[in-house]
Formats: sequence, C-alpha cells, structure tokens
Amino acid sequence: MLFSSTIFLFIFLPCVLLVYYGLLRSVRARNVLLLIASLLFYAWGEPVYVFLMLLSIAVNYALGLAQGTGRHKKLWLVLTVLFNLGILFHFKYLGFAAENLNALLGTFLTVPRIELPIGISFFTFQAMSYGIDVYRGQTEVQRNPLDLGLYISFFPQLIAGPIVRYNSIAAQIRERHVTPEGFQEGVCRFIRGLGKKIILANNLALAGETGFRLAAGGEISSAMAWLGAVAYTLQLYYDFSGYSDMAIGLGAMFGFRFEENFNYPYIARSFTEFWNRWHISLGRWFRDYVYFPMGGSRVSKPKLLRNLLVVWLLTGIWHGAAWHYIAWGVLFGILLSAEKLSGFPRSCKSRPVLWLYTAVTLLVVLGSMVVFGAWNIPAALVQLKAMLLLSAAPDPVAAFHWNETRWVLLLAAIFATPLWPRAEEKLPRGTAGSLIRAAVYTLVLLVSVSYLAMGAHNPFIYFNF
Amino acid sequence: MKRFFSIRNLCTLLFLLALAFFLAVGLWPFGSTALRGARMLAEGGALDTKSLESYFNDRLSEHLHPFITLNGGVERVFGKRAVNERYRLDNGKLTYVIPELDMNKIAARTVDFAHYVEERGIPFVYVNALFYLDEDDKQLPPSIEDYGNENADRFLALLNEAGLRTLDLREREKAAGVDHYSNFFNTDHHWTPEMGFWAFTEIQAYLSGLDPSWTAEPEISDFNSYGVEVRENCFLGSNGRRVGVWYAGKDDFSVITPNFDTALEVWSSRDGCARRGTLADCLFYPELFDADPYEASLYDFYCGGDEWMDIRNLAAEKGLTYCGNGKRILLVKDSASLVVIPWLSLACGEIRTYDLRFEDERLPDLIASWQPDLVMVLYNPGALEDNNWNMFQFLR
Repeated sequence: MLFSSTIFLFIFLPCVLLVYYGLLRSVRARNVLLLIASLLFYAWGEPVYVFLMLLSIAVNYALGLAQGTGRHKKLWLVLTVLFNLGILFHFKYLGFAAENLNALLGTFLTVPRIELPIGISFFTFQAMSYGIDVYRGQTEVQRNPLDLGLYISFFPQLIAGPIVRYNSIAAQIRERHVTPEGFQEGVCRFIRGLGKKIILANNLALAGETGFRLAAGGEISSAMAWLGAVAYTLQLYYDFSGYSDMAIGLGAMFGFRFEENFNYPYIARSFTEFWNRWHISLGRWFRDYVYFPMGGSRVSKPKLLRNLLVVWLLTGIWHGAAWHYIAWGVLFGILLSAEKLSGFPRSCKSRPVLWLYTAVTLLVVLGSMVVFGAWNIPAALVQLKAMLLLSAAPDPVAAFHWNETRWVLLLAAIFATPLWPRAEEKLPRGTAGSLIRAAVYTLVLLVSVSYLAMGAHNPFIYFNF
Repeated sequence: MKRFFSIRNLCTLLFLLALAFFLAVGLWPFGSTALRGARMLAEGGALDTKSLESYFNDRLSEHLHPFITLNGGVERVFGKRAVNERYRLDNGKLTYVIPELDMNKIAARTVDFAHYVEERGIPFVYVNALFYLDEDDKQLPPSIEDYGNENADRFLALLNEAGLRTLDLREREKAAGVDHYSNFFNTDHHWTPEMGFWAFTEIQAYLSGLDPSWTAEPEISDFNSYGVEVRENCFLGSNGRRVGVWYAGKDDFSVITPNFDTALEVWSSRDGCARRGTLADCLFYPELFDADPYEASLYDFYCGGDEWMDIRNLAAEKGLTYCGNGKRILLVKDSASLVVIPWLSLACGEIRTYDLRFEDERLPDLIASWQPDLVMVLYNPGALEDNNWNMFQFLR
C-alpha cells in the first residue's frame, strides 16, 4: 500500500487512527493494533511476501533470544547477519550475480527472475540492527515477539525508511506519549511529505523518465538531457524525502520519534556535507555497523581509503542489483575519499573558491543522479555526453517537457532550500499564524488528494531498493 | 480535551475532519471492493489487490468530482498542456491522441461485412465522419503525435481497393471550405449538432446522387427550416470530465428543432419502451441539461446515447407535409452519429441503429430478416481500433 494512495488515505489511516485513539488505551493493545495494521499494510501490496516478513520476525526473534542466553553470542550474531543478508541476496542479488558470473566465467547458471519484495532492503537492515545492538549490549533482548514484530514491520517506515535502528526506538515501543503539539507536528509533516511526493515529484517524473528513455535509445538533445537530469534530481529528492516526511509524520501521530532522513541536501557545499544531508539513516547505519567496526577514520590513510571505498561500494550495491548503482556508489566513495584525505574544502578559507566548489558539488551530484537513474551505464554516458556538448539545437520534445514542468521545477527548486521552515518561523504567533498555517496545509492536502482523484500514476522510486 | 480543541491545533482538527470525510466517502466503495475480494477468494483465486485497488479507485472517483475540478485548476495554473492523458491544442481545445494502428484486419472484416450485405442484394456505404483533429492543422503540443486521420486514410484506401462505396466527409469539408475546429466542441471529441446536421445534408446528397429514389423534400435538408436555441456554458464533454471544469471550461450546446411538423415512433433499448410524437418528443433528452455534468453527457441529448434504436417516420401515415423518401436504413455507427440520426430519420422511412460496442451477434439475422434498403456504416477515425470495436468480428 502506498501512503499516496486513496486506499491508505480514505480507509486505512482513518480506521487505524480511529481504533488506536478511540478504542484502545494501553500501549500493549495499541502495539498489537499497529502490528496487525502493519502486516495488513504490507500484505495489501505483497500478499505472498507477508509470510517472508513473518519469517523474518520469527527468526530474528529466536536469534535474539539465543543471544540472550549469553552463550555463543558471536555465533548467533553471525547467523543473524547471514540470515538477513541471505534473504536480501536471494531476492535482490541472486539473478544479478548469476548473470554476471555467466558473463565473466562463461558458465550457464540459470538466472532466476525473482520478484523483489518491496522494502526488503529496509526491513532486513532494521532486523540486522536489532541483532547487532543486542550483541553489543546496547539494548536488551526483546522477549515480546509482538513488539519485535512491530519494530521490523511498523508500517510508516516499513517500505522506504527511514531505517530506524533498534536502540533508537526500543524504549518508545514500550512507552510513549502523544501530545496535541506532537500530533499536530506529525500531521503537518505528513501533509508536507504528501505534497512533496504528489504535487512535486510526480509532476517531474515524466520529464525525467523521457530523458532516460531517449538516452537509452542512444539519441537525446542537450536540452532534453539537462531538463531530464534536473527533473529527475529533484524528483528523486521529493519522492524519497516526501516519503520520509510522511513516515516521520505518521510515526509522530502514533507517538514515535524517528530520526531525520533528509536535511536539504542540494544546498550542500561539499560531497561530504551532501551525504550528511541525504538519506541520513542509511549513512548512519553504514557508519555504525560497517565503517566504525572497520576502524573508521582512526586508521592509517590506506586503511581509511579502504574503509571508505568498502562503505560506498556497499551503499551502491544496497541501492540495487545493477552496475550503474555500483558505479554511483563508487563515484561517491572516490569523491568523499578525496575530500577526507585532502581536507578540502574544510581547510579552504577563500569564499569565491568555496562558492565555486558548492556549484561544482551541485553539478556533480546532478551528473551522479543521471548515473543513478539511467537504464544502464551506456545510457548514462549518452545523457552525460549530451549534457556536456551543450548543443543549442531546437528540440520539440524538450520544448514540450519544459512547458509541462517549468513552474513545478521552479517550485521544486525553491522548496529544495530551507525556505518553508523559515517562512513558518516568520508566521505571527497566535490565531493569525494558526489560521495561515492551517489554510496552507489544508490547501496542500486538498491539492494532493485532487491528484489522487485524477488517478495519477505514482510509484515510489525507493520501493525498489 | 479543551487543550486539544484550540485554534493552535487547527491543522490537526482540519486534518481529522478531512479524514472523517474521506472515510465517509470511502466506506461505501470499500464495501463493494471487499465483497469483490471475498468473491475472488471464494472462487478459489488469489487475492489480486492491484485490481481491487483499481476497482476501489473507480468507484471512489465518482464521489470526488470537486477534487477533479480543483486539480484542473492547479494544472491550469501550472500551464500544463498534457493532463490526465488529454492534450490542450494551440487553439485551446482538448483532445486525446491515437497511435498508428494496423488497419488491415478491420478493413478485411469490413469488406467481408460489405460482401455479406451486398450478396443479399442490399447496397452498402461506408461513411467516414470527421475527426477531431484537422489532418493539415493538428495544433498539438510539440512532440505529441496523433495518427487518427492517417489510420483512416489507410483504412479508406483498403476499402476503396476492395471496390466498396465510401464517402469521406473530410474531403467534403475541405471542398466546402468549412472551418474545422469551430464545428467541434472544446471539451469533447465530438462534432457539434450543427456539424452533425451538415454531415446529414452531405450524406443525403450523396445517397440521392447514387440513386434518385433517395431524394427527400429539400426543406428537410435546409438548415433554415430549423430553429436553433444555443444554451451557453452548459456542456462538459468527455475530455473535460477527465481534466475538470476549471481546466477545460464549458461548451455551449445547440438544440436544433424542426420548424415543420414531424411524427416519429421510436423504440430504444435505453428507454425500454416506445416513444411517439414529434422529433423533439422522441429523440431529445432535455433532462440531461439538469444532470451532473460529471455523471452524464449532454452530447446524448440527441438520441439519448449509443444503445440501439428503431426509428419509424410516421409523417406519411399522418399526412404531414414533409414525409421523406420512405427508405429503410440499417445504420452501424459510433457516437458521431447521434447528431446525424435525428435529421436522417426525417428524410427516410425507418432507421435501425446498431452500435458494435453493445452487441453484434444479432446483426446478420437482422439484415436477413429485415432486408433494409441500405446498410450504412458511419464511424469516425478515432473509432477504428480493433480492440475497442471488434468490428464485424462475428463474420470470421
């Protein structure tokens, strides 16, 4: 089920809120409701794979209990990691691995075509986080299978994050309080996310898709290459950060506080800063569970380089079983390593140079998104080449898409900066401010629902990861 | 509780109100969706949640017309020319586009059908109605292609090669120097009633040219013999319904009524009973002016819709001045004919209309038993799609 679907907004969410606040009082009963709702939420989109989810809950629960005995903790941890990575490998990477082994070694392995369970990368990483946190003694073993089930399957962040680490939420599963202010913050956050996804991301999708399709066909004009790249770069941000906003907002409505996942990444002044602002929960997961255990940055320069490249290779692989995702991850690995080893731009004091570097960062990020979103690496190269050649030849396809997206692009560019929160801060306090705020959010909600009423096609990009 | 119901929590209150509204609106369609899902399971099939969601959305959208209107307003502010698979032409009118299609199969079926008809000694004519887009001046946004006219060109060429009689109204329109776009609605893909009348006069002239016995009183084909009442801003066409009235606007709609006496008897599957009286009594559906424009199409004002009809002209029986030629026509048609049929019914003795979207199996029996004086097929180029029409599939 999608947050930006009529079935969610018109049936699922009102019913769950109604039962949660109208009929239930104890945290235990509410947790059971949220678990059932989460499984229904997942089953609606993946009726068969809900059993995979249940298996994941059961196995991770049992392995957690085994760790709780205090014996063979390392063995149980290894089994936890192997089980979760095994699921992920089977569903996400088996076909890719077989295909490449066949190409590389000339073997004839059967390449399985397995349908990817949505959100598998998110819930397996969350499950691993539980096992590792228990092993490290950072949290207690969860002896209530329903509570662990709720952690792994909780519907707001189930299928596209943020990746919630167990130690950040364990206490909230046991006890949480909702204040009117907290609930309202959740409502506003949810509406903001819905608007980002439906009004901005969906309206930019066609231009981005057209760019990638033309590039895959081998012919794309400079104008369309640029327009497609900009549209996709903004679409990806609003799609994913919109989902994260909705997840954080929904969590807040039920009394949970999730970590932030985005912080205006396109205003970053360096690649390191970009990754401190983009998909923050994934970055922290890799930092805590991969980078730090390998020694982090307190090692020799060659080892630091190795650590960074491993993390970014894994980040690329995490995003998908395709070479262009791996190239994208490695590209950022190289860029961040260069910044880390050189100390630039942290050590630079010249403002013009820093401004120039900010522009370069944005342009390289734009190019990296072409690699990320393209159908394959050759297609990405075709589009990047067209962007670099800067031909001014007229292109009716680009003219059409420019006409269709120009105002949305403008809005998207404006809201990619922290303008909205600053504007909200400037609102007068008291009745006038509340009225303006309510009017703006109501308008965003109604316009978003109007797109749903039109039956707009709106898959989330990050469901595939 | 008092703390909760304060102006500071207005966003929450409005959101909860909105959710309550959504739930109230969504429960009924969800009920029928759940029943459908239960049936799926009872029949031993897997629960196909995608098709259930699509079913739910279809049912729900019937209750969300204000949101469609609002969305049209937003898209208009964004200056978009492509909205919900509809395109705004340079002249502001709305259309959908038709891909390039293989015409061989449906042309072969049409030729078979024509031979079936002619083998029984009944003349056959294929009339190609005007298409929404002018072949020489499509006015589409850049990079958007439409092949409706090109498909029709190839289709007609195949019929002509097979020796069938065809009348291409597009050629007649060019020859007459008619302004194409002013005779089509802005929000609907159909031609206007005035253009439907013009098409009738062209068909009537063509048939009279083939055989003088088809000649009817010239007053019936004279537009000056009719009164025209233009109702302003009252029609939201099918394209307009897709994008909302704030995007599309509304069209005027003309009610054309004969100034001479008429007498008809009409049996239609829509009414399920006979109507007797003047042309207006029998073939006009004025209640559509009061219907929700998102629910009903005012284009159906003439004839009430596409269901089959049997229209008998009783003018001769009643001793009226203009009786027509008394001929009997079997008209196989699409919706373009709805604004042609009323006037054609005055010029002949009886018309039975047939729309292949609704049924086709009785057609051979009807031809054999009724033995009409002419079988006429009238389609617009947008209808030449195999899947949509199963054109004369029953013959193969």
